[in-house]
Amino acid sequence: MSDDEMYDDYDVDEEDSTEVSGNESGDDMDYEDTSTQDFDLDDNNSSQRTKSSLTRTKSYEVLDKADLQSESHKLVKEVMDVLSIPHESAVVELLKFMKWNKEKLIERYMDNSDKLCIDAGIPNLVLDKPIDKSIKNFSCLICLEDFSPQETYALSCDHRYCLPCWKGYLEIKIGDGPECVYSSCPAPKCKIRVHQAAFKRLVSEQSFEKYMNFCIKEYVHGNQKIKWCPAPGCNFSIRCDRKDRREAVTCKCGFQYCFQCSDSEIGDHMPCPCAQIEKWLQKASDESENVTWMLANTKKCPECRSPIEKNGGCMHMTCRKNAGGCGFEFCWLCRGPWSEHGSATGGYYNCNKYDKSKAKEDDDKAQDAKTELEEYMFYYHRYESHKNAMKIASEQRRNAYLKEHQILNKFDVRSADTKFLMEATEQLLKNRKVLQFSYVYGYYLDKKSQEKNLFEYLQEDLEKHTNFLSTLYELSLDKLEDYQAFIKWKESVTNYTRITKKFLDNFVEGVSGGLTNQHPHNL
Amino acid sequence: MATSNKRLQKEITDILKTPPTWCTAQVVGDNLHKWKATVIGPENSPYEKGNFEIELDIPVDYPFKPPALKFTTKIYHPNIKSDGTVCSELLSQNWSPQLKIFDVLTTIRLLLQEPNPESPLEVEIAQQFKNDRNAFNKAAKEYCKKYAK
Ligand SMILES: [Zn+2]
Ligand SMILES: [Zn+2]
Ligand SMILES: [Zn+2]
Ligand SMILES: [Zn+2]
Ligand SMILES: [Zn+2]
Ligand SMILES: [Zn+2]
Repeated sequence: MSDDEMYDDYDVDEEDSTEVSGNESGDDMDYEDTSTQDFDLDDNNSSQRTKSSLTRTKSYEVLDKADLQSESHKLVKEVMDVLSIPHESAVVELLKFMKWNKEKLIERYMDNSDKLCIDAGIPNLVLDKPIDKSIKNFSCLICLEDFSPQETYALSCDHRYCLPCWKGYLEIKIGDGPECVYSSCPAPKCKIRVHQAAFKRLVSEQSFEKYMNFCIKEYVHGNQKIKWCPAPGCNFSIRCDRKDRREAVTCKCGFQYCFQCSDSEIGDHMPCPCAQIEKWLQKASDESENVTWMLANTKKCPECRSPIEKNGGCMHMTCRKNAGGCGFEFCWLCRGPWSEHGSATGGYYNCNKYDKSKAKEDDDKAQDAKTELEEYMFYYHRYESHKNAMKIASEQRRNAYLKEHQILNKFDVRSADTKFLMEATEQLLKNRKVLQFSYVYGYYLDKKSQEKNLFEYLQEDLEKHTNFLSTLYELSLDKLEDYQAFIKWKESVTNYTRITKKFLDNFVEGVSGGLTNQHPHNL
Repeated sequence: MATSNKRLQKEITDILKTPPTWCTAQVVGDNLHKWKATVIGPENSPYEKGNFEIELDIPVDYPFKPPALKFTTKIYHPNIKSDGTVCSELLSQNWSPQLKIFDVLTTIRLLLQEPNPESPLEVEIAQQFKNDRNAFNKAAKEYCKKYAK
């Protein structure tokens, strides 16, 4: 991937995220603090690039119900003007039929309006058939009762029914769901569509409101540039004009996700391209049986084999003695002793490299296939670990909230002094999300390439610092004896939050840069 | 409920007044929403002269929603499952509130006349229907003789 290409795709739109979600932590904060000196990232280079991308115009828009309504209405009006069609309801049917593509509709209308109108179920754009006043009594073919003509209605096809039957028919359609917007005349095999004006006239006000909601759904559904926010229960939708947009969009509900995938589970999969995610998920499902077996055999204490449970986001595990374990401390990722994760292995929190030589040692006679699975498992395991840490996001937020209150009670501080905890929580979640997908990206990188080295370097930085922040942050309040100790802890969490943010930005920048640039900070 | 009861009452009255030659229909007990019908197998079909009993469950939303039906007479047919159920699409696909129970029975009779092996519920019977019509006819006739007296 070329440099330019990547940057074209990647415009971090801070304007979006602050304006839209409003709960972004720290983005708008001024970090002049000197305490980051130890971790000076020398990122002039990258911040300049970020700035240039920030000035880019927003390429997506969060829409609520009213926006969608006025938008579709505008489109209808435009078509009415261009084609001189006086009936709004007729145009809505045409647009629905043409998937809300105005240009195509106009083109086809110019080409053969009669055929288009018949196909769309509104022949000659006639909405209904007026009542023939000469008829005194009318027998409804649905309820088999007699009515005066005033109590009846027929679409242009002249299939006439009594008003109560129309009401019953259409309200049951509405009750059945979104398909009601494609309702046709009740007569057998009649293809004439029941248009908006007919619905309005024939059903209760309450039902009509429901119908109009389905119309909005249909508008979004038919419109390729607009999609519903995939977050459960969210009613916003997002319009994105760029088809190939790679960077995440942020909904007003706070959910950040890839517009192309629009998947509530995947969310934002930075730094991976969509196709890679698809490939990865496919692989995960193909390998799931093997993986299940591997996991079943490895989710135990590496020393005493008692089952271990992972709480919190930290990778430092202890086989709990009070739960019948042996007290062994180890790394969740590699199952190696935690004591070995020292400066000798590149820092306490350094555990992102798949050690091939060690794997070979472990199993000399391992077949290629098995090695391959092991390698995949390495990435899969880390992917899952970060994913699981994400899954308990709401729990973590709740815990942070509880901790805030404990702090308020214990240290008699202002509530502003506890804000850092939430900020750290959000930062950790962001980092874990990127880390999760970084293992997908890493898996597909050419094993011996220069890129892979740089990638792992950046990933390692990010993971190391994220894990450190996680540990720091999960510190039990009992360990803080006094106010001084609290302030010290608070400062280090705050600093580390900031630092991990820089590492995250750095990582994202580095990967977006195609991993071919010179290293963003001095190696 | 009111619409469906009134209409069902009318339908049953009509059927009793001018009974069709090839079917019978009656309400089960005093529940207007449960009917029992018999369809006589159409001529020139392996079901000829068979008496096929059918139970109809009529929803409260009738006639805006079609009835559900089930054969209580065993029948050898690619579109009717061995437990007597019929693909619900058969009625719901082209359902119109203008159609009546009599139309439903007509559809059933047509299905006996012309099985549709392309969307079968009994795959093996459908295969046989397509590949070995004589064997199919023979089996269907045997079932008819045995169960549809
Ligand atoms: Zn009526
Ligand atoms: Zn009609
Ligand atoms: Zn949303
Ligand atoms: Zn995607
Ligand atoms: Zn143990
Ligand atoms: Zn490790």
